[in-house]
Amino acid sequence: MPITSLIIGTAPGESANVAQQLADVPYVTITDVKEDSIIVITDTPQSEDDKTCWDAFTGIPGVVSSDVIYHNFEDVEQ
Amino acid sequence: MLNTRREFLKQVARASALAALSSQMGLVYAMDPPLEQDGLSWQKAPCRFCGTGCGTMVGTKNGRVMAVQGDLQNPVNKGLLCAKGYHAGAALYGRDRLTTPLMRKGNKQVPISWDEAIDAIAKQIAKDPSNFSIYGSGQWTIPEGYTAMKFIKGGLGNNHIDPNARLCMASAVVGFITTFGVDEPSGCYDDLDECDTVITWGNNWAEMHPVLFSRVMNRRNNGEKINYIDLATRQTRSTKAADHYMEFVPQTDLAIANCICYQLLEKGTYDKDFVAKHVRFKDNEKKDLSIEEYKAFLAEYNIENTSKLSGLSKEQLKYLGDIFGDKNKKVLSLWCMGMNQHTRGTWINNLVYNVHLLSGKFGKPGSTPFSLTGQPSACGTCREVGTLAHALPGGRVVKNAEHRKQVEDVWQCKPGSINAKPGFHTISMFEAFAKGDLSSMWVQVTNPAQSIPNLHKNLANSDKRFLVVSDVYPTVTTRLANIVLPSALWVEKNGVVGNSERRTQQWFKMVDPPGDARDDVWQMLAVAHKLYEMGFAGMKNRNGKFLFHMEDENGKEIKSWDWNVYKTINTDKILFDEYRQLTLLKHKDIAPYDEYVKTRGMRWPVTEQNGRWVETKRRFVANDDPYVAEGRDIDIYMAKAGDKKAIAWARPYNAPPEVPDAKFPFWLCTGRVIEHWHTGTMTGRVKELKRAMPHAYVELHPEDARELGITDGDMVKIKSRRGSIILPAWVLGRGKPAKGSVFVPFFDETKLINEVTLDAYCPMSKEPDYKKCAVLVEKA
Ligand code: SF4
Repeated sequence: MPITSLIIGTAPGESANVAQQLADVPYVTITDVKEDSIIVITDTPQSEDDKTCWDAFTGIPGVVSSDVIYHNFEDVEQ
Repeated sequence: MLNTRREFLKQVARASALAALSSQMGLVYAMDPPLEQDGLSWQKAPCRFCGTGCGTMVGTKNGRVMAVQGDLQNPVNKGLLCAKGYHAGAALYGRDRLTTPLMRKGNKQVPISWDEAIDAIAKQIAKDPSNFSIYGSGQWTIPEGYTAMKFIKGGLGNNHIDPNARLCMASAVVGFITTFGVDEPSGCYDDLDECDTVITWGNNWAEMHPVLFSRVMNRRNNGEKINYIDLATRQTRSTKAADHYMEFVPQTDLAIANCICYQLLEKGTYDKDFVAKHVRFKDNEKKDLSIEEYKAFLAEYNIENTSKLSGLSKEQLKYLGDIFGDKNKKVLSLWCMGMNQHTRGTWINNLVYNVHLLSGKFGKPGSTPFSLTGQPSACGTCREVGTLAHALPGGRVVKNAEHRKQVEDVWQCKPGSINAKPGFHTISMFEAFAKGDLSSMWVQVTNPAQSIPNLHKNLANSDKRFLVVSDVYPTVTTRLANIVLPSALWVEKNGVVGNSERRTQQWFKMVDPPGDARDDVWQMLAVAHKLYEMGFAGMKNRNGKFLFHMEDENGKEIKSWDWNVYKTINTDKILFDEYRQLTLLKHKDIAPYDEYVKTRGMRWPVTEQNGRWVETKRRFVANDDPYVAEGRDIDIYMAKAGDKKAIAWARPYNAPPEVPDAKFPFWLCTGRVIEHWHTGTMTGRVKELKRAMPHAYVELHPEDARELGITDGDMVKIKSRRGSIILPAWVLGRGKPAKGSVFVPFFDETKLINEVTLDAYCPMSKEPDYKKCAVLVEKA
């Protein structure tokens, strides 16, 4: 059950729209919405789910980049 | 309690992201709560995977890696990591890690002891030392590559050592040496922060160097105007961010670069002062040319002709000419495999330098050519240590008697120990192994049975030869081996690597390797010492001591070949500081090991100034590179002619060796995907990455798919003159190849696309072209 934080870079003026759509992605908590970036925390039940969930971000119109900052997988068995 | 801890970790995760955002915006980093409070012990290490060389912080507890975070203090990535980087920790814990040495007995590989393995390898080498070879890697750490090189070149007196970096950056090396007289770039990642125009030449950096891509995109997000031109043969994730996508016919990048030079000279927009001071011209026969003769050579690359050949419109070609002709534009060219894996890889590297030299866009902040590398230490280990068949450390070559002597003196080998004849380069090494001209091979940190081109030909008979493979997981190569040695991975050992921008980075071992897995350096030292015990002359230095003789501060010999001793000492420091003595010749100076412990890496040349070790941002550039002569703005100080000028080569367009025809009507291009590292040996063990990209596919242009009656998921046969494979189709998936071409990634060991690829290579760099061959595509 990994916990991860990401910075989602958005096109200028798009962060509010993107944040709305991000809110619909399962396992996602939006913690901070800035002018051109959004901080997102994912807490997924299975380790396989997190990458799928992050992939969903890049498909959202207005998302320019998605970078992972912190990834804790201390209770995950590979 | 669990919830409390999870909530706490979420706070840490958020704080890390906020700090990374601040760092991206140039603000002071402050993190609350600090990382230490999560109960883990945190240490720095560069990412295990690509040549970007991002810094990570690795969190460990109870002898296990528990978390990875982007290192906010590392100037390469300022806290950001890509999908592979944050899984570098999880890659250690696949269930099928190799944990004991194995020996082939009949059809099986059975466990043996380390003593048996070392003994068998040493005896095999002693039987036929001159026909033993080492195939290594751009993922070797600097001490690993240095040990292997000293073992074979100093100890065995043969030069049959080459790394897989031959397959990814040899063309860049020869391009640098032929243009500037010395390898590796002038520019650095700071240029990403200062350019106003980026041109990628056949490079999908959004997936292959994603953190560098984000570094530029973040500038855009902050409101800066950055013009991005994607010059490519396939639309990729990078294309989505491009202001201009220019799709060219494979191999015609040669003509496009010449056409830009043609326009600069024709319109007189070239930088006359820069050219007069810093550039000379030569033809392919190395004859000097005047600028008028060079202009005459370029005449056939006028816009009309080049447009017909390349498929770029006249407007697009003119646009490129104008961008480079605009004195006020700061243009950064980036490239990697798309240019290097090319049957004229050296030439296209030369030609992109021509464009920048003529336009004077060289060595200026944000305005310079910059060659990216694929692997974490292709630069540090293969290029700087020189683990190539013709090379010696610090830019030396085996052919040069003075160079050999300098290295023999540092190694304390007997005079004449190093052979003057270059060994086999990668493709010829595998051909010689297949034919039996090489009797044995030791493969470390790479998986050639999946990654070399034209596998049927180049791997023929490898199961009949004596093959030793050191790796961390079973691979298609370990399955062919007589002996398999289980290796330590990433933070299970000490390491030092060098990235694309000349940055050398160090880390310490943080956790033990599993089972009986051991460091690659130790494996080589143990075999070397076994040979020494057997009386093998080459493993004795000129004083009769072990070639890898090491002493502690009291002058007492360190028994580095004994694992129980090895694991208590830091051999990396000893080997690195020995290697350091060899880095001064061509101004590739590195600092003592201990200096790297204190920093997030330094870019060479690193020189001691007023008691401080100072790195060099931009090489050859005044007020930055300490070797630039007084009074010069730019100093190409290793120019072969001694005139301090770079060479602009007149290199013509040259057609590829195989082009689509009636029988094989499609182009095939191969490459990587963001989720997987090369052959997927490590990333394939990470559940998240495996699930996100479980198997290889063939990417088709939608019109081609329609004409062939192929839809997503259909099985498709890809056949060339060399072999065939069957793969599921992906139409309009992640990328979109040009009409008439297909793309297949090579990470999947169950679908070996290299059974199909061609092993034609650049005659100068010997780097094969994985990006273009002719194939038949049909519904299976
Ligand atoms: S960009 Fe390369 S070095 Fe950076 S995190 Fe990704 S794989 Fe690692």
